[in-house]
Amino acid sequence: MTLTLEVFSRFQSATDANKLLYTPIADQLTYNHTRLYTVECEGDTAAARDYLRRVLVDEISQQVKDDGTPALSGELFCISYGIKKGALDLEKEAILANYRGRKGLPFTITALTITQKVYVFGQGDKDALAARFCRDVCNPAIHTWSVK
Amino acid sequence: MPHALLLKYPGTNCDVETARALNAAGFSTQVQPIATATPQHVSKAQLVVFSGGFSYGDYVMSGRLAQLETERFLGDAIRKHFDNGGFLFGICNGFQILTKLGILPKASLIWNKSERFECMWDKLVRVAKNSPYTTYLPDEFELPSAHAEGRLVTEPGDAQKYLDSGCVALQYADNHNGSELRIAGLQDPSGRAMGLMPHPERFLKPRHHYDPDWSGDPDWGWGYYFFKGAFDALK
Repeated sequence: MTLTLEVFSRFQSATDANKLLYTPIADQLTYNHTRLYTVECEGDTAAARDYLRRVLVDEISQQVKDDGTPALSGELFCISYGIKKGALDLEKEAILANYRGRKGLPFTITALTITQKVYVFGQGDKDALAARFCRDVCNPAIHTWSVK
Repeated sequence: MPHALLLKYPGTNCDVETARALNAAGFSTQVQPIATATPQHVSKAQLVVFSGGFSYGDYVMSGRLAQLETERFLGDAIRKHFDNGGFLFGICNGFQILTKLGILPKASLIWNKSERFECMWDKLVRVAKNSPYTTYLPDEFELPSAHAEGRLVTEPGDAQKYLDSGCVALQYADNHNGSELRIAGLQDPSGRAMGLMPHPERFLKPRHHYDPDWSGDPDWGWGYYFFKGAFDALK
């Protein structure tokens, strides 16, 4: 069973996308970002969902979308990037270390993938702009990414 | 002599200065890595301290994994310590951890409004009058701050309730991080548990002040008096 949780801030609205770039561009773009956790698990999936919500979501400051649809909409493009296979993902390891240290959970997590999603809003040449943002946001040494 | 337990997590980086401040105030202090901490360590302490840093790299969000690991290694020992009259003190990342442990009023510390790490001195206003930590402090004083996730947010209306009920220990005079109602520090109603974003352990001596001619106190910086206040309340 695959569970997805896309977590985003209740307080953070889209802001100047030039903050993501090494050199600013003239286009009036904004961006917002979320974090998508994709979890493969077996056993009691309701218990797994409750556990993951407790671990990954702050009920005061964050919201979560867990139906598999994107958390945000209306973007010009969205960059999804994460740690490439074989590279050490310290956040994933920290989460799994806590999970493995807990006894008697009625489910088993078999895989966890963490994806950072950057939603860029505005008008412009989608392909050229996406390439520019990917170049500055993603690090080919450790990341894989896709653009939608 | 009151004993302080300082819990250290991977990424904690203010434990040495905080232990120095605790010792200066008179505490015997034990710095204990969380992976080897036991409920017995907690039961021997009158004060449990969570110091500053970036526990677990601030992964997921600041303080979250430290909270989960504290629960895993110590169970309800922190809660029992508090319920039995013990003191709790959280500084910066320790404040973030303390809010998540559910002992302080419900709040969360998120990214600064600037969405940047900010390192500066803050002018603070002492609000709660029953806090043992702030007993010896003037109504306004300054401390150094250094954080990325220091903007305190609450569920709608809660911040005002905390202010009205005496749970706001400190406010910023200049609210650079965008906290609700300028809240810089929270406490439980008794004042025994307190958390704040600025770093009292970084202003232990007058020479730590940014102004070499600072003359607020001949012997100690304002930060010292947080630890001294707790020590005197416990001795």
